[in-house]
Amino acid sequence: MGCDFAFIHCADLHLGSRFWGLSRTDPELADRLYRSTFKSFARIVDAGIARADFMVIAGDAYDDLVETPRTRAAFVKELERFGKPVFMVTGNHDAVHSWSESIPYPDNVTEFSRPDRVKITVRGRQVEIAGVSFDGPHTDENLVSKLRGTPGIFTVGVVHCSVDTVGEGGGYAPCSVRDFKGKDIQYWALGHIHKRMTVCQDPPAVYPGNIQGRHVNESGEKGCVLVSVTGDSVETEFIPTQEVLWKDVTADITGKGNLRELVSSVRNEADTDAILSLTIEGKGPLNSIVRHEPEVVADMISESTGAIVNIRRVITSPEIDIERERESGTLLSEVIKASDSLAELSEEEILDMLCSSKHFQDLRPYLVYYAHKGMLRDLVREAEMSLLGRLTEAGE
Amino acid sequence: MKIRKTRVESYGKMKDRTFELEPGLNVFYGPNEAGKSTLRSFITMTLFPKAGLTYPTQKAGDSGSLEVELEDGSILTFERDGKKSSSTAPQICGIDDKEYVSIYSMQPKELRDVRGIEKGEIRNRFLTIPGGADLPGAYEAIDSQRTALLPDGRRSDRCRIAQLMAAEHAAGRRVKELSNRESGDSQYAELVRKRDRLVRLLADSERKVEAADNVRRASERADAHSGTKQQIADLEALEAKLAYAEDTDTVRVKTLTEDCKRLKETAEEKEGKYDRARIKVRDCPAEAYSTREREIRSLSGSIFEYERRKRQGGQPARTARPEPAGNFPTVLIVGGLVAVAGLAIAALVNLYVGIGAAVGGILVSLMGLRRRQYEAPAQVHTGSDDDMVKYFENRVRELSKELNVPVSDPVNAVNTMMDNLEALKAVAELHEDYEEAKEKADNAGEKLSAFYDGFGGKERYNQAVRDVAKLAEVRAQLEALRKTVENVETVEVDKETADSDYTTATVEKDEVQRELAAVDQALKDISEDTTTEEAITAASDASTEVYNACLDWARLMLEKIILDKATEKAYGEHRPDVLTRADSFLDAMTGGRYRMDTDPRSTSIGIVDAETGEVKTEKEWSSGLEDQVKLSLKMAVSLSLSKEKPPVILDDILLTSDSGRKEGACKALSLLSEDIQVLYFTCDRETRDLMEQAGARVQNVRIPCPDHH
Repeated sequence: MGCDFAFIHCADLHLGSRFWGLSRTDPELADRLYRSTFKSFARIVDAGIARADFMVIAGDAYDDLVETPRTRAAFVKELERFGKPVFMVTGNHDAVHSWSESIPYPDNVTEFSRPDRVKITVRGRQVEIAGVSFDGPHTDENLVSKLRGTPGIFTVGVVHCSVDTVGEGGGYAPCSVRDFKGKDIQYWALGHIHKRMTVCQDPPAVYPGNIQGRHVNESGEKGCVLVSVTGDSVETEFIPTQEVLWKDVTADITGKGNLRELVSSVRNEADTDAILSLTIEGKGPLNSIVRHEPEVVADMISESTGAIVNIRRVITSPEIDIERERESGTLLSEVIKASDSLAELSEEEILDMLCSSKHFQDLRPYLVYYAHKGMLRDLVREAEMSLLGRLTEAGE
Repeated sequence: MKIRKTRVESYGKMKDRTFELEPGLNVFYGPNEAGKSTLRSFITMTLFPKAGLTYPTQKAGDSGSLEVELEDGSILTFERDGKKSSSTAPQICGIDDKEYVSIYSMQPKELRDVRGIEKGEIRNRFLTIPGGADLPGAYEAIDSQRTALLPDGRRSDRCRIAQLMAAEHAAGRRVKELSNRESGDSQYAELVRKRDRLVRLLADSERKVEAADNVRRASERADAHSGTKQQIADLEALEAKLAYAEDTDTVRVKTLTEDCKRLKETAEEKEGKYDRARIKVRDCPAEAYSTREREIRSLSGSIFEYERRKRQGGQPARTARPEPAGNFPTVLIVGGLVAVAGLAIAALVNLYVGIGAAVGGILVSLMGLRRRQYEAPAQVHTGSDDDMVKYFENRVRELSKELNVPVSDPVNAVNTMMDNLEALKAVAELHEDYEEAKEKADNAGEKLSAFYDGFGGKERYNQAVRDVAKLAEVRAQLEALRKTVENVETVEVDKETADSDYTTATVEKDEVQRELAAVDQALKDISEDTTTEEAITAASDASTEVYNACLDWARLMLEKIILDKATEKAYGEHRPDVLTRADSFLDAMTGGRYRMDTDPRSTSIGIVDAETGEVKTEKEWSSGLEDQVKLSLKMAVSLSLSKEKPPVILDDILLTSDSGRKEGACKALSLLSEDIQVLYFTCDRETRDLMEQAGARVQNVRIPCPDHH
């Protein structure tokens, strides 16, 4: 630790997470995954004990507003084991605590609620931690703008928020990159976005991502960030701690005549320790079958490699030349053109179009979720490819 | 392709007939069996030899020819020779023989058979635009999948999304219920506190149970030894009764008895001595001797003087000075010498030793001096010798008289008196000895007697001596019995009470234990809390399913939206010719009442009521309407199926229609005949007339028929 001091920055532990739909299809795997968030956090604590002076947790320690005592007790045990100072804020998932009286946090934990600052001395150097918490599952307040550091002291800002450049906005403490500047805060420890990213370079504002991938869309390594400070210089190092890796694998149907060929093309990428997050792409005669029965492909890969396979996306297209077909003057050309024009609409417009009938209004809250994730335009393309498949591959 | 001339040399019953045909609408009129079907069969079978018409039976002698004009104006003649034809119409027209019969050359039964145009090539070629072949199937799939998720109109509870949402709400409610149930962090904390309290209480009650158990066991043991205890108690009573005997002391008794005996003997011996001595002086008046002892002794001391004076015979008496007793002067001298020597030593050698010696010497001298003063001699008598002798003799006499001593000689008398005095003294001493011994003997006797009295007398003592043995025996028994019960502590409660106390304590402990178990279970229920977690999982799963179903629905909805847009555009711009034409034929045939349903999504043929806009599918058609619709379609298809447009041959297909329908059909056929040659065979005069009005060339068919009845 050739630095002045170092700390662990983690967020979105989502301890006690459920794994979408798995409990019914594969209870054993669901159980392994249930434990995975706890194991990942235990590894973060291990890393912290070995290499850090303190820890900041930027919200969503728990997965659900219904915080269970089992989860709380496990978390408290790890915090105790860490022993060094821990500074926490709450996010949208853990804004309400249910067991703070009977299962209190240990003395080394400081949990911010309203904006506050705490100074500690680490290896002879004064360090300040400023934090603010969600006071409920949603807030439209700009929490970032509420934090200030003390001039002359290295300050870590801890907050759960949605930065407009990456987040889906509304209800999750929206803020902008400019809010990070000029606050006498030298490092912004953020939480909320599950994908690891640095949203601002100066001062550094970092989302460490969640600590354990929980479904096909949370693929890749997950863990925490070790922040080392020397003078004014800040260095970050990602430490992977995930228990289960969701590994992206892509199967391309282009040029494949049958499913066996498709399966053998990805066999080498299979990793039996990981869960494969399978994307099927390409263009060819297999389009129809992989679109309508992607599970068949997943099962075949699973049988052939022993790996667990989850379908992430199917973005295949039928074996037609879209560019040529667009000008062919056939029904297909009209389908392509209609899709093109729909894909130019905004997410909001597509949402409005889908929910135009009063009968569909109650689907809106669900579809809003996809609109916020920018998935509806992709869905237009999926619909297009599905249609082209239906119109050209019937009976194949 | 239009038939210009038909020459039948021999076909069925028709012989040697020639028909000139118009390029447009031709009507062949004749009664039944006049040969219309034969002519239709000849033309059909000559153009498309494999058309499969079975009437009339093909014969080797069949012959004739068709002269046709192709679209390009060229003239061809197809010769019929027996069962063969030289026709190249299938090749020229690009359609097969079956299609010809299905679309072009029809009797009523063929008219109604529309299988050939509803599916397969013909449908795809003529009823859709390019690329639209699978449109109805695509629509059907999209709509059925989509509406299964969520119907377009009013919500059905049975649709998948409604069911999933209901499940999601139920699961959400369940989680909420559970979370409300356990909202009590304080409840958990209270349970923890209650548990602590119960743990302490349990420890207490366990101790109580243990104590009660000990008492109970002791009591049990005590109970088991109660016989022994009684025995011990009896023996103890006996022991107490015999305990007095413990004081028997045979050694002491022996000692006391011996003492008593010995002292008694001694006393008796002394009594004997005393008695014997007393007898010797029984005549001496002891009191008088005692009174006169001093005088007797004085006389005895004067005997020497008396005898000397008596021998001198009356010499005056001198003062007798008795010899000083002891050697007082020696002491005085030695003391003086020591004192002098001491002074000398003090002066010459050592002051203190010398002074000490001198003082010592002086003290010794003083002692000598003092003794001399005490022992200073007494003057016994003074006077003359005679007086003294007389006096002596008188006194002897007086005393002898008083003391009952014979006075033969005064000296003897005095000596006797002295002897008697000594004897009396000895008797007194013996008496004293005796008294003393007697007292001792008496004391010993009393001691022994007192000892026996402690037991109530000698007899009782002897009984006690016998009882001591018995006591020892009892004690031995007791000791043995006590050994068997020595670990049996004494208990203050009886077995019944102890049992009852134990039961009460156990019940109390069990109660605490039950309470503790319940609290533990409650804590476990909360802390292990799989109910809530399972409910959360279920809610998460249910929610996921709704989201997934919504996404599926949205994709299907987008497919429908895209397809609607595409179809509208495509069918607006490229409406299939067949549909357009069929529509106009049906319009003509029904006098504008019905139009063709041109929706490309329809999988089956439908018509639209022009007034109501209602779509009618085949099931809803009357047979007359069915004929009209199917004729319109087939007429339209006949125009598109082949560019060479082989002639349409219809065999009384309107026979069952009413007048209005016939009129409409005639108008439509007239329209059709503008583009394609139409040959209509009928036995119906009305139809013939209508056709004629519509511009048909009417020819009568009437052939001699040998088997005509």
